[in-house]
Amino acid sequence: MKNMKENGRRLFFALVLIVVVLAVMIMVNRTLDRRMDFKEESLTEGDAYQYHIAMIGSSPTDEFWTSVYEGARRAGTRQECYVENFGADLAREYSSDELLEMAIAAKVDGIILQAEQGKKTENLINEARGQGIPVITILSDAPNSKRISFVSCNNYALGEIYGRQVLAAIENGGVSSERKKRVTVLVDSSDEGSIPNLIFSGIKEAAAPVSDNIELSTVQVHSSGKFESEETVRNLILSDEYPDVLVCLSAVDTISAYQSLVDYNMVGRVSIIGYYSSDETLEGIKKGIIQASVSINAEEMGAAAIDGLHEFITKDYVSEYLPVTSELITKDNVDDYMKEDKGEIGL
Amino acid sequence: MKRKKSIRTKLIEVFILVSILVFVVNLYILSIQNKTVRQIDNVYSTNIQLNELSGTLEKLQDSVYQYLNTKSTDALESYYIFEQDYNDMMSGLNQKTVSDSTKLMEKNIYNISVTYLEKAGSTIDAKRGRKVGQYNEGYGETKRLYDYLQSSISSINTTVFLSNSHNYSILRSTMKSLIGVSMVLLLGVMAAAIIWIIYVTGNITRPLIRLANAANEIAKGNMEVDFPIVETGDEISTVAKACNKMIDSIRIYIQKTKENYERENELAARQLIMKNDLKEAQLKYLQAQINPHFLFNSLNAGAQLAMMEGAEKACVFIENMADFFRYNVRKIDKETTMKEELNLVDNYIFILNVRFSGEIHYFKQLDERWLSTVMPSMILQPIIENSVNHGIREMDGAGEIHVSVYSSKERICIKVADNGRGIAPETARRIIAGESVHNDSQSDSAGIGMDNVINRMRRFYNTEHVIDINEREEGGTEVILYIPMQKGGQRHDENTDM
Repeated sequence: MKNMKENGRRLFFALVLIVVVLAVMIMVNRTLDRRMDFKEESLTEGDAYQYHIAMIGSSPTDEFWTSVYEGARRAGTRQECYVENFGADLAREYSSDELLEMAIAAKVDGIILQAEQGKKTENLINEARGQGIPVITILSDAPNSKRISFVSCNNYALGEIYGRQVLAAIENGGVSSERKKRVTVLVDSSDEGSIPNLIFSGIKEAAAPVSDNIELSTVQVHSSGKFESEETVRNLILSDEYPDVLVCLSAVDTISAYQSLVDYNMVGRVSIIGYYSSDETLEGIKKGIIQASVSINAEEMGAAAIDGLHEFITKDYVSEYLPVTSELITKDNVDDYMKEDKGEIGL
Repeated sequence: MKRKKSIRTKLIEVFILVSILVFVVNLYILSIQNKTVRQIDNVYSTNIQLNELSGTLEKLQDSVYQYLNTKSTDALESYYIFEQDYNDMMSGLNQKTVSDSTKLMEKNIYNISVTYLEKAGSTIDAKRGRKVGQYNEGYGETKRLYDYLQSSISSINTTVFLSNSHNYSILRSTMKSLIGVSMVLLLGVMAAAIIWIIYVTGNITRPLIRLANAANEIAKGNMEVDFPIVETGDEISTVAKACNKMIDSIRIYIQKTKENYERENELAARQLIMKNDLKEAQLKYLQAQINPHFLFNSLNAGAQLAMMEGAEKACVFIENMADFFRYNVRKIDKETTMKEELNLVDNYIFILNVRFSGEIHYFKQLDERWLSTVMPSMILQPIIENSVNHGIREMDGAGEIHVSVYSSKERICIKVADNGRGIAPETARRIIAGESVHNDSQSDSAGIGMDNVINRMRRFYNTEHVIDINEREEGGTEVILYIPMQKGGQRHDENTDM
């Protein structure tokens, strides 16, 4: 009887030991598998999409462009389109034209292009169309090419918004009129075409009431060279004839101008009217250093481009011009943008 | 059922199981380590593939250039070979639109490669057709596409390399932690095995220790202890049972021995009693031999008769005889005083002098203080008798006997000296030692031998040294009796009614 009990106990002990060892083994195995299972994981997560869209911007890592891309990507996910920020992953930097050529060679299903001005770009767009790849331009157009559509805000309306802010800045500054107020518009040198002109004329039109008191001029920023923006703004501000109102038409210029004012102690003497709702810009508005910023909803823009492309791919037709609304950020509504921004980052 | 598992089986069982367990764990550890090492080997395989792709592409481009340059058949041949190679390699690339950037890049590379190969093919065709402008332009395009491809491949290579490096570091750390886990696992198994072995060996040795304890208890003399029987079913319970059988038989044996011993004891006691009875009977017999009452009464009658007839000397003689015998009758088994003993000696000497016509001169030199000393009766008379019988009677001339009482060194001494024949020292030693001097001591006429006197003295005073027998320098023998002082003088009134 006792023998049986003893045997049973021994058997139980042996079983427990074996089970524990097995459990530990299985546990270790599992942990190991999970840790070493790199590739399969990424494959299963990456769902296959129907369309491959290449998005080509002049500077793929720019904050504004990234926002546009994010908007496009998110909109694309809904429509079986995977949007690639073309060239962002490449080790070398290529020009838009080169990237465009690459995208054509890579036989993507559609291209969203921030067009550069020039015959070459137009030719490439035409070649893409020849191979059945639809191209939508965004922000800057190549109107003479066979691009299917252009996504942008109304630049003239944009100019008017700027103009009204210039007007407000002049009026705020008082009418101490021993000299004319200097208003300088920073223009991207690559946008030689219509857009800056349209904006410029919009500003001019809107500022017409005080045209006697202002001296409107443009300064070109060579965006092709690196760090050009900061240098140009600095030179401008430190010159004797520094502008009273500085109008920036790009996000980078706005940040540079804001930083320069702070660095060279010109706050209060120069009013900045900026572009886009980057974090620095919003901060500047909140501190009152930047008077206002005109913003295009970048994500909406990206989404509009994708929607247009998808429409064309599926229905073979899309409107030639896809407008995006623009907004004005001032000290009054800056908090909303800040929250919004944070919310987006959170997403 | 009785012998389920022997110790051997148990030990073998434990050993085999532990060995198997450790072996299995080792095997397992080895296998996962192997797996990890394989993984590490594989980590950079994608990079290697990409490098090969890039290399092949370079050779392909080279051969295109060579062909366009020289139009050599070798170049063309190598172009076809490399094109085939490249095609094979390409087919391994991803071709689907997926959100993973690396995979997407693969797709781009694949498609650009397709374009590139088409372009290269058409350029080669143009060269064959000697369309100079066309193949020049075609070469430009292939060159550009080639650059794009190389750039893409190197980009993807870098990305993959980064992620591979990351994986590699993970693998390395995994490897490290794996060693730790292996150690822990092995140690754990070892610990469990040790615990188990301790448990099993404990089960084996515990009954042994209990057996040993029981044996120790038995060794201490507690025969009532049984060996504990633990039903382990192994050899130990067999041993315990055997031990129990042994202790049972030992108990029976002890019991028997004890009984024998008791029986023998009883026998010895009976023999002792018989001896005593014999002694008593002998004594009674001796006493009966003398019958002194009759003698005493007869002597008294004789004394009266002598008185009436006017025989003065005969009367004194017979009175002395009567006193002598009365003393004998009364005092033989009682203690007496030294004074009475000396009186008896006086009587005895008087009788002897009548018998031997005054030949014995008797001198006394007594310390009066010790006359009341208590002592056993019939001590001095036998000594005097011996002096007369063996000393004086066998010499010529007048015999002298000196009795003196004195004290020396806490002892009272009674010295009896004669001027007789003397005694050989050997004889004296034998007398003191209690050995028989004469072959027929029983037939000695006086009845009470020296050995009797010495024995009674010894017993009475409870000491060995009671007598000395020496040969005197001037001839003759002296006997000295020693009486311890404390025994003397305590009952000097004993003889008042005499």
